[in-house]
Amino acid sequence: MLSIEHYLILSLVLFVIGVAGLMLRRNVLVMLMSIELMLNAVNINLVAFSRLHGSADGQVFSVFIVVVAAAEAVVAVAITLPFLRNRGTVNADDLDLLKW
Amino acid sequence: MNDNPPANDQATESLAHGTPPDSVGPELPPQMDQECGIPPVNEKFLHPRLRVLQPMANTVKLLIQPVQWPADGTNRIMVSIAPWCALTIALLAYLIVPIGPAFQTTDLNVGLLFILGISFLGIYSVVLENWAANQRDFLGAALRSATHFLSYESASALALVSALLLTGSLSMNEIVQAQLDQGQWFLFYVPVGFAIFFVASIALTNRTAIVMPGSDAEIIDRGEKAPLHFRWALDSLADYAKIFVAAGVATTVFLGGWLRPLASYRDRFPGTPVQLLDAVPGALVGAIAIYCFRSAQKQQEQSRKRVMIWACTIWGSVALVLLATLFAPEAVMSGVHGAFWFVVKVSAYVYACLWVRITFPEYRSDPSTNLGWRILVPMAVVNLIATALAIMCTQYTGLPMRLTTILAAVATLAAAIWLSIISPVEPLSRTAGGQ
Amino acid sequence: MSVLHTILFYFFSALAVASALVMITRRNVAHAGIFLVTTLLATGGIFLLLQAEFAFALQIFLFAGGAVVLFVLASSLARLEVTRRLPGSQRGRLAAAALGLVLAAQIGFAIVVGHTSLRLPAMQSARAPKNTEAVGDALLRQFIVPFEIASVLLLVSMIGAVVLARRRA
Repeated sequence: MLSIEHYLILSLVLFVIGVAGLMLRRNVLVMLMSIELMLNAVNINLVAFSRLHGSADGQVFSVFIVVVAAAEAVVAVAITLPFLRNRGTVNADDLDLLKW
Repeated sequence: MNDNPPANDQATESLAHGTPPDSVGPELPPQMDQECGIPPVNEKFLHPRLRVLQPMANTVKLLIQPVQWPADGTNRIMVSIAPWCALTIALLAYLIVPIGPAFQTTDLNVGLLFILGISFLGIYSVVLENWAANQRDFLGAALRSATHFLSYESASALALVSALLLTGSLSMNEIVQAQLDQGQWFLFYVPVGFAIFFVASIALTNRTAIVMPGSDAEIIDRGEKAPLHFRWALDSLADYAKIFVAAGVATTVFLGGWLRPLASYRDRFPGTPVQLLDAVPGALVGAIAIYCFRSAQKQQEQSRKRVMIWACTIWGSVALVLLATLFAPEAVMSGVHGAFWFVVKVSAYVYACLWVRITFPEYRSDPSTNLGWRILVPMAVVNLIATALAIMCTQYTGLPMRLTTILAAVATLAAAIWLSIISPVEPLSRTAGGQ
Repeated sequence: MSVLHTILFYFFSALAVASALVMITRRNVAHAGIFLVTTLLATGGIFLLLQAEFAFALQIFLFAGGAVVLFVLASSLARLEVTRRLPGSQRGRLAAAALGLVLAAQIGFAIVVGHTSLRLPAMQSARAPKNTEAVGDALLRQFIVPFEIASVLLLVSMIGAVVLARRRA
């Protein structure tokens, strides 16, 4: 009864919620969390397809996605914290040092 | 019952009723904290004839105490869910642990990884409780507890993985089966790993999430701000539940799970289908029952005599069950005896943990985290590499496994001694996030 | 059995979507982190339904127990609990929401209406062979080079994070 479209639509919905969170929220940490949500949605997609075709390739790729997501979260937080210390805000609209 | 030693009475009865003991030691004097208006929890308020129910009554009173929040601006939702988080983790882990050959709730393919993963989620309970209390020094306590917890969880996870190298699978049932096939508990193949796991489990479970002064379970003389309420009771329960989870996991991975000692030794009594070593549980428990009976006859008071006769009946019935199942079909016997050995091993582990905890004073957070990060985690990594090399050695050169693993253990201990010599033990420097 | 599968699927997906929606609307960063944990655990449940146990364990370990812990600890260290609603941050909200809806409509169209052109066969009903073994086998045989590169990446990001976040005296 459950076909692949169910999982794909779930993944789509989570991805779009992540995109909306990324665009609507201005707090850098919440934006990072929305990025994690998007990566998670892609993971569902990959694992569903790997189950469909019966090979482990999709799940291996999802392992790498999780690893990269963790590394990226670490680096992003490491960038955010000194910025917070110096500027006192983590509103993304205030991170405009490179603007003209 | 008044002249029974209180530790015997209250602690064992409250443990038997499945509630956290109010204090592992002599009871509080009554009329404790009348200044703060909240009625004391530990005083004896029942009729003298009902005194045997006193611990239960105290527990009920504890559970219905008026709710106390750590400070005014606390985030009530987060502070409330933190102890439930710790308790859920402890209870979930017991889904996977095999108590007997066919006595497991579910056999997840990745059982051990699941238990490790959800133990890591216990950091939320530690962090949320302290941080959501919205007090200045609790933030530092939250972060210190978080690093402490992470270090010991990493060390215990690495120690478990080094025992996992000897099996091919993460499923808990397969791990016990591998110990049966190899004829040796993994304790004897990776003794250093077991030691690391033991130390880590003691260090992880002595620290409840709540770090308010006076909220420790073992404090005898509380001040006015004694926070004894349902959330604290949940937290203490999660503390003890975590010990049982660590004991269950250690028993399955290191101590052979539901296996009898010398499980591959299958000699039988001549003429019967009963194996020699399988009669040992029944004989042991029968000996305990006989001891209880003899001791009951030596008691002077009626109440103590009744308690010993009651204990003798219980032990006697267990001995009868164990001896009767020797002649039952194979599945029943292996199930009952497997459960018996599992319970014995878990009890021994829990006993050792509580023994250590009662004997030594609690470490301050800095030296404890130092021990975790600088000594236990590198030691666990070295142990992992050494065990892997030992297994490869055994496969390629044909040396017996016991020799190579003992060499690996010696190498790990040498590394540990070197580490503790070169690592300084002074407290870490103060940062803005700390004190 | 498939009825149970369907019920569990709808339960987990409802939980995941609801938590995600709540997560992006919280003003308290720590609350958002907790709801992200709920979303990730619900997704783990979906992985279990797909009989991908290794992905489930990895989700719990690395995502919920690693990345989100990092966020919660970072927001607590920086005392970022409540974010103020700044003036000027409301512009572009409508455009952002519309963009999201357009994206959803495009991909949804491809999945639902055009699925004959995607040619997706039905899901297998046979039980997948030992999942962890298969994934580990693939990781260490076929994908060994990406595996090693990922470990180097993790090492580099750890060192970089420690260097970046260090307080310069």
